[in-house]
Amino acid sequence: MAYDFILGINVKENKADIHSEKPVIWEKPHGALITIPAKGKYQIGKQSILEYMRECAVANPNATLTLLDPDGKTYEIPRVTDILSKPAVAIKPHPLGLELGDINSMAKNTLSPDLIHFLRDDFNRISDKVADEILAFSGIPGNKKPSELSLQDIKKLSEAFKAVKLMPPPTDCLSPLGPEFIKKGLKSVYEENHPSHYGKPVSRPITVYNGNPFSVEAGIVYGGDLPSDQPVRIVRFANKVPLLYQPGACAITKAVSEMDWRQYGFDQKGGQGVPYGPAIIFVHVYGIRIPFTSESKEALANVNEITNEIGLCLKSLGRGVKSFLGKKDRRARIYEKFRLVNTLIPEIGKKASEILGKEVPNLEPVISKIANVVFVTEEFRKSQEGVEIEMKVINYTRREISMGLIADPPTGDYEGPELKWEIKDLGPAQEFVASFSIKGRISDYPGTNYYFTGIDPVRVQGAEPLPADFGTETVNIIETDGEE
Amino acid sequence: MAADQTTRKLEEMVNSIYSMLAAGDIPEISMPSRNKENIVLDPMLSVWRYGDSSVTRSGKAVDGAEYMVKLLYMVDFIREMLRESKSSTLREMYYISEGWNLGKFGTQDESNLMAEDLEVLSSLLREDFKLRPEENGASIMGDITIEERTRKGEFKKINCRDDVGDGGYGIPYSVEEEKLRIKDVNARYILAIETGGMFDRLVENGFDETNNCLLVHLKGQPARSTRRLLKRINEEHNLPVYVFTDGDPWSFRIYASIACGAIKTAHISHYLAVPTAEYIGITASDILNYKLPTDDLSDKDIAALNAELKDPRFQSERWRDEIETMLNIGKKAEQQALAKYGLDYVTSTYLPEKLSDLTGFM
Repeated sequence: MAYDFILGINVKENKADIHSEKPVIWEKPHGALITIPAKGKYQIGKQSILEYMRECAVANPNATLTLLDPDGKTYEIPRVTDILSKPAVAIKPHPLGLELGDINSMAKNTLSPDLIHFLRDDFNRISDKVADEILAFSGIPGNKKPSELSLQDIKKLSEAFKAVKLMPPPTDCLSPLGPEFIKKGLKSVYEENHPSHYGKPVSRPITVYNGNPFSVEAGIVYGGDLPSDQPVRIVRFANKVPLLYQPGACAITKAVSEMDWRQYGFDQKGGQGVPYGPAIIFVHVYGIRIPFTSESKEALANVNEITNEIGLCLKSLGRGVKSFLGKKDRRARIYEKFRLVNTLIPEIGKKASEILGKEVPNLEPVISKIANVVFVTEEFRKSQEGVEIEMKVINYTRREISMGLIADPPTGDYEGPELKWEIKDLGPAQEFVASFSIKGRISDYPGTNYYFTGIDPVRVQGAEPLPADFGTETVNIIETDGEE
Repeated sequence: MAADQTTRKLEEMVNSIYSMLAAGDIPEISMPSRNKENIVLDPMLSVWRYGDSSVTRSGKAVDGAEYMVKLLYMVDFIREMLRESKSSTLREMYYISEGWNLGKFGTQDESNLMAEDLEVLSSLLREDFKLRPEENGASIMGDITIEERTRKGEFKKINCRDDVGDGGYGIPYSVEEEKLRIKDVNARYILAIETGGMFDRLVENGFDETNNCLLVHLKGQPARSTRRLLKRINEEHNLPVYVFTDGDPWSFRIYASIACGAIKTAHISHYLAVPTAEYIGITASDILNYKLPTDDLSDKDIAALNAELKDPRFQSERWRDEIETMLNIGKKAEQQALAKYGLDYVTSTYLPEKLSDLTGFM
């Protein structure tokens, strides 16, 4: 049993007009079906229904979206998570977020018998004590009927709101996507570009502008097949709704353009404007009252507080990309050194001996002089499932070593037991080899991070000391002792 | 140098790398740095040579180790050629290196440079390695008789005026005694000419006969064998060398490389350079005195002239005057601008005038 309504919208009062209401038989356990007839031209491209759906899917990874287009083609974007996002909690209006008109209409419609109760019950963050302060400041008697307040009184109240000390609105009332949702949403929609890096999503703490709590969260997709000679793509969201139009007028675009991206490995003419690079930048601004440039809600208005928060998110994303690029460099350097001792020096020995008709000399002393370290390196090849990785630990020092080693493959690509080894008494020039497999395409494989314990960091290359805050509790952190 | 001697010298070099490895030392190779900063004018010979600063290529870095691998492959290749009495062009060697695995060169510039490095390291010549440049094309016209060893192994006698066509005698890639003997020279001086057009003009006007000189076509910046031949005729037969080029900063450098040597070949300047060579023109004063048709100096030209003011090869008062004059008038001129006064003007007026009042720039 369900109800079928035909609704209209009362634009003036922002209320539903019920045209008809009738009970129907509907065999779903729960849910709602909404049909909106609208006339329009169906088009494809950047500002199209399909793109709107795709972006909706980014911000709503818990929804399955299906589009049946006029040509009879069906597009379906299945949900990638079964978890619901945190719903918003209704709160009473915060005095600082209200215009004179808002206060006026609240006063006309309130059920409170007098001003003191109106203040205490209808607003957020007005305690009895604060209500008294407001009355004292405005000089209006507390027993005056709210509906009898004059425009002059309303003005005085508004001034009083600003004069007294008010706590900021509660911040748990908002509904963010959260890092997990952002990552899943970006991955499900943009995986087709085979990006090499999903930036760690950034969430700002909730702040307030004009008494309206709001916050910003952002994510970035980098590399892969994304074009590096094009401006980055900015996907904008306000309260989980994609903004397709008016990018130039939007505070999000403005924040991106005002930042100097060059320091983070992007191209940007003169350090301003939309940067060039293989990236999609996702920005979600959410809050109780999002300021738009117009009623059509196509672009965010430039409010300093909001632009600043977006800027802070973007900086954090930029740092992530820079560190990703740096890691790639570091890997390349370590690989070079490995090639030096493993390939080039032996080749010099071989070729020189060949020319002179002598025996190849023992190269170990030279090699340990060049690289007096333990190398952690990996080779990878395509396998049926994805990528097969062979990790090698080679001791180029002249002493036996022991160490713990933990592999941290790219998130989400590895399934299986924890990759952890205890290497005991590995002699000079000896190797320790281990293999594991991950999912995904070989061209996207960014390399696995290796962490070691129980050995002096200066003696290891290709792995990093295990950070103290490393994820799981099952990892035992072995303190480095001075002798090693 | 005989093939077995060359092989022995190369093997000595390889052995030094081998010994370092065997002793547990990181192998390294040192040689004078071959860049502009490390060029000095030898006060005795007044030619360029490398200074005291040196570079060391060490096996502890990937670059250095790769360098050594390539060098060893090149040495091996040269040994093989010597054993089989073959030779190859520098370009051929570059292509052959495709099969050298780790010793493969990225560009031909890299392999060419390394061939020169090998000269510096072994105190041998590229000719000893049986490596030659692709083409030469430079030619000589005049009453000089040489004997060239042909590919059949016989020496063939050629008079560079009577036995050749209007193109002159083509200078081979090696002009060493084993390849080329100078038998008889009947001329007063050598006129080295930058452009083909001017060389042909002088040949057509019979300048080598009327003035009893040898005409050498430099073909731009002269190749090693061209410079070496100038040097040999100059030294063995006491013929002065006069250089006749366009009037622009780049042509000044052609003269300087003949007289003092070039940066890349400073290790063999004493063997290639003719310190007594003199510059005839076109000078900046020629442009003014002969009222020659000109082009404006480009920004690059101006930068090159300013660099030459600091170049030790252009420090004589006369050179400085010429360079400053050219900067002042902001003009340059080609050799063939002399045709403004007719086709014979260069042979009937300009060259005789210039040759007679040569006082020397250096």
